[in-house]
Amino acid sequence: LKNKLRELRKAKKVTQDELAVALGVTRQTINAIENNKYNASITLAHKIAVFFELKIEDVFIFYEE
Amino acid sequence: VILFMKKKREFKDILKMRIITYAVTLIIGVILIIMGVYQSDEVLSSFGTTLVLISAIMCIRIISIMFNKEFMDKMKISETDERNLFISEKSANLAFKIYGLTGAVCIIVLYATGKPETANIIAYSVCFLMILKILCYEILKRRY
Repeated sequence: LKNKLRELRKAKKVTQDELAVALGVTRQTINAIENNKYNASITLAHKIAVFFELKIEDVFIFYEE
Repeated sequence: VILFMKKKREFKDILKMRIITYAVTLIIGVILIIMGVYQSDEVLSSFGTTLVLISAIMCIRIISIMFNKEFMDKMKISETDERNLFISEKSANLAFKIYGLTGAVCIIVLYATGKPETANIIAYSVCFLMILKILCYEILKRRY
């Protein structure tokens, strides 16, 4: 599972801290998602998509093995 | 706003519950110290002292958090953060496995070195933990 979180965040000129506060998670979680170290839950993925006014599949890309 | 205030109050209630828990632990610690002094048992009194110290520190910490709005908000996020919960579950799972493995090794070593009583105590604790895990699994399986 890959994501475009970093690109979207930078395009919107939002810091990791600001995004974390808006989503109610820690900055470390945002960083881990951006670096593909942690896969966000469906709830958090939905929150992220709503924040960027996009669909979940526009933010997260699932690669079949 | 009402929902936010409700959530905030709920977290404050959680903190209050923690204070009560640590207060109970503190009382148990005091009882242990008194018992240790009366029975001249150093192990019991030192265990009680440790309990009292830890409980007192935790109580003071929680009370100071409750009076600091900024820190309380940070703590709330940190405690409800899904990655932190995920890491917590993973570490608990790993600790369980390590406990089982080290327990098994200790039991073998203790039996080999002629200390079956201690080995039995460890064996019982490992078995109890395993049974507890199976029970928790069966209960949670019905819930989810």
